[in-house]
Amino acid sequence: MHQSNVISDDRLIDEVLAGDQKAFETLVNRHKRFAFNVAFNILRVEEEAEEAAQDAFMKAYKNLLRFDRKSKFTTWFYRIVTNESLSRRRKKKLDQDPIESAINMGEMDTDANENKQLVNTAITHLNEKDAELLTLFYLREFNLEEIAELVESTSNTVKVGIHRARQRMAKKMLELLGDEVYELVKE
Amino acid sequence: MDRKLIEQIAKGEADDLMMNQFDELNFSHFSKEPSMDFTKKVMSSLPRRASKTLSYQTWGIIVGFILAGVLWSIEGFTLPDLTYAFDYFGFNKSFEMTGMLKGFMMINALLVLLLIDRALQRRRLFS
Repeated sequence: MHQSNVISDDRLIDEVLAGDQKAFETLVNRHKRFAFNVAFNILRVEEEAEEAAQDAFMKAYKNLLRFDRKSKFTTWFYRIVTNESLSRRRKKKLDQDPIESAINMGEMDTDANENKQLVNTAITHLNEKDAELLTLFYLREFNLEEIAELVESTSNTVKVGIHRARQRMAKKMLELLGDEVYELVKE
Repeated sequence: MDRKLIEQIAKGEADDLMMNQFDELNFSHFSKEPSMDFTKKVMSSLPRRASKTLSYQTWGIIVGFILAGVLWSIEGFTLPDLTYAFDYFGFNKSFEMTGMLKGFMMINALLVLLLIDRALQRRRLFS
């Protein structure tokens, strides 16, 4: 995304504003994974997260002229996705418990799938703040300063927050793995 | 996933290198993918937006005027009705609304209305 031969988000936005819908399609393809994961972190139901991310893209499209370019597109867009997801959660009164994302470790077949499930499930079992920090951190879209701006904190606090969230995530992973080691670590 | 590594992180006994390793492992497995038709769904639900490229209507008007200018310059107006309307304007400095002229004006008025509609739609979408 940061390679010089790739069209920048700002340039794509200019093209969208000039009436080129194909440019918006490129933006969607570029940021759909980001939008979906941010929405999923809040809603924790895949179908709802997908709809929230789609609606967020719609809102971004309609309000593109209001994007003042003082920050990155993803910073501005993150707020849209977050607001859309929170409003959806309020409206539908979705449970925050990650029941729907709970995994059946016995059904997993390959190591890669197992690891993917383990990471994603561990994150969904964390509290909302930890999950938000790790989602932003692991999406690799923002640096610490940008994450701090998004969560309205300082970069030092974010750094410490990520450190603690990482530790809690590791504990959750051990718990999910059903390892007796967890009992030792818990102490 | 390396259990020993997870244990070290969980105990808070990991150094920077281990934490980086843990982050790398998580990063490679992190994130869910939206459905395959996600982009298609978004694009199909977008409101239609007027393009900056010239529309068929605009090209139609431009071509129509150019054609009229060329025909005018080579005195190629052969339709008696139009020639009559032109001559009438030349002599009387007013239009006689012949059926042909009315039709011509009506079509142009419609095209102008379409252009205005597109311009308004564009303003509305970006406001």
